[in-house]
Amino acid sequence: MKSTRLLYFVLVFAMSFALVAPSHPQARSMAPDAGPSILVHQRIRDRIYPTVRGGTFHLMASPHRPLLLAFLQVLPDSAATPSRSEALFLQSMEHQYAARGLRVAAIDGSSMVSHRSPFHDDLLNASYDWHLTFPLLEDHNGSAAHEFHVRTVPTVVLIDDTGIIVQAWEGFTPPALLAQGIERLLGGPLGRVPELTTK
Amino acid sequence: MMRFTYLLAVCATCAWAILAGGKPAFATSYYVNCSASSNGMGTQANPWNTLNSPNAHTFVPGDNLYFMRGTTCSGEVKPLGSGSSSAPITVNAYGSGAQPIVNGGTTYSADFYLLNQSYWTIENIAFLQGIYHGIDIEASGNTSVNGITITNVTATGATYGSQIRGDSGEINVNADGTDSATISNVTIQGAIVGNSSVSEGIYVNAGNTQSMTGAKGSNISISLSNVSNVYGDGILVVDASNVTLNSNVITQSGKCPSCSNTNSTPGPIWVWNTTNAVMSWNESYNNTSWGAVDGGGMDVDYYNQNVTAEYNYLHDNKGYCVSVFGSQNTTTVNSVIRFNVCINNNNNAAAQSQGDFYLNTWDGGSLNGVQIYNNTSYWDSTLASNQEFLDNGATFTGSNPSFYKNNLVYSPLQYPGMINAASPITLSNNLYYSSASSPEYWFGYNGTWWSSFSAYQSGSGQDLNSMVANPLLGDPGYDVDNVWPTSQYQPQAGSPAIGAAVNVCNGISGCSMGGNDFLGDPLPSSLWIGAIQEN
Repeated sequence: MKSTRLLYFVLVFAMSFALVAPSHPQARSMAPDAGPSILVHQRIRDRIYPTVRGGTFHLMASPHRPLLLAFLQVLPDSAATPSRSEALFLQSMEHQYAARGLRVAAIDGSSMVSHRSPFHDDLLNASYDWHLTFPLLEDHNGSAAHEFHVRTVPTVVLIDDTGIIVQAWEGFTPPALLAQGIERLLGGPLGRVPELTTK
Repeated sequence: MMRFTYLLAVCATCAWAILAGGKPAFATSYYVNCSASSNGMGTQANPWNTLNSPNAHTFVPGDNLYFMRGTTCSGEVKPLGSGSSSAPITVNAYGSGAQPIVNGGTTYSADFYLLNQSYWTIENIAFLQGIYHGIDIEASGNTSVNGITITNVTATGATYGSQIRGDSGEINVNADGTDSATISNVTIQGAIVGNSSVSEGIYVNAGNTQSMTGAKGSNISISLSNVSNVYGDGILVVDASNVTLNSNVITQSGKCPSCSNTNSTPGPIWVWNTTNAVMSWNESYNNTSWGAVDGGGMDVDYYNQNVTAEYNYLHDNKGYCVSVFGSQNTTTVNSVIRFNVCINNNNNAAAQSQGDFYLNTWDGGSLNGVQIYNNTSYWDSTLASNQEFLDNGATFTGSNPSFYKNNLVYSPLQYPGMINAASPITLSNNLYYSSASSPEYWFGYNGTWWSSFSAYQSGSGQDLNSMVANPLLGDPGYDVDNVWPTSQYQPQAGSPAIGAAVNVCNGISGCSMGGNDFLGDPLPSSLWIGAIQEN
């Protein structure tokens, strides 16, 4: 009896720790690993991804339109992560440039941090809690991140209307930098040659 | 021995629970589903279906109150109790889908209300209508409220027709301004606010409004929030220390159609009676005022000390880009305005004289230290009484340095009014330019006016290291609304702005220019004039 009761408390202790131990703060961000970088100037494949609110999203629209595509760590959805900041300004870009043909979408890259696929309902709730106005796409096995050579979240790529990646930004990118690339793509003033920018 | 071992195990478990998780062992989760057919016990399997039940309950630290997603509750959430610093009470959503809605309609003062209650976290709920407020957090008497966190909420559609500041607000965190009540450690993040006829979008009054020496709340943070279409102010923080207003978007504030009180004209994002505040990376545009003043992009109002406005994009506002004010026999101390971009402001035809950078004092107020540097302006105000930098006869006291340096002003005007300043403000290393043919620039200092830059330099002794020259920007033309300034405001190769700026902190103890330019890039060793540096 004595050993049973003691074992009970040991188990309670261990289970409680497993349930509520805080995650390491470093889990909120992720430094670029040593893998290959985004394939700027490469043409993407026309993948179709499910959106968390239902339906699908084609990377290549018809008729073709430029696309601002982000990889974000959407979960946990109440944390002030760099991805959360990026989402706010992605919506700002959509608000400002949609009339000129720009599409905006985000692919969930939470698994790059947590190393497990998130539950669909968690992503669905996050899309509402972040008040997203653009599609949030599911990447069940991380294949999209792998295909784009995404090394960190957030990462944002700008794709022209022919499917060529013309610019990529790793890490949180202020809206003015996003706009600089978009303006250039949409016919704004010429600037530097598009390139990978690591913030 | 058996009893001792048992107690030891119990104590160890409890102690660990408190130390590791901080949550008491008996915290409870309660559930509300207003679509449920009957009112239950508040469990997930048998939830409450009316707000009367949670409103009659006193919550304890660590408790959770969950609302079912996809449902709407009519009425006001008015729970009792307080959390603790290590175990706040959380109001959140459960289930999946759209955020749960709490709708106070036109019957209830607020959708969510707390009075003298601390350590509450409210997240992932949509608050709709209510008369005066979506969320109303109040402190009165001598109460010190602590630990209010509001995350990922919407607060829209409150119905009151505001007539004056403070009579209503979508998110209202308010200490009674006449006593020693305070509210501290407030975090508002990711809120979508507006489309309502209330005074403020987000209002935090953290202490006593009666004087600069009254009680102040501390640690107020508002970020990642979007405020649009409100009758009065967008985001306003008063009576507080350690304030950060970071990465917010504010538009269409000051929309009241019938307001006439000229003593409480609106601003999109500003602070009053604060100490140590930073407003950064915000976008403020298309804001207005019903009066002849305000309705600008951002305001460092009076009673403030150590306020910095940096990296903001402020455009298409009826009033100034950034103002600094002093009033009520007090001194506004150490205001820093840097690395902002101002475009197409000051277009209120009914306004009194203003500028992109506008200094003013009245009623015995004064300024002690105003640093304005490395800003970029597209100055196209056609009102003859406006100048890009306007010191409207402000009174200065104290010995803190006041200057206007490294600023880039681009204008399409034939007769651009550039400067109207006076001592003790000093000016240097600025670049002025008009793209009009044969422009006539106007510069004023200490009440004397010059239409020749060289005559202004020699007559005033100011701007000796400045220039009138084409900055060779990428494309400085004014763009349509809502377009961020980008390379068109960046000096291109051969620009005289390149390397022509000065380290404004030379000779000033404790001064720092900050680490980045408007685009977030590190400052180069050879500084450029304007907000955007080499990258």
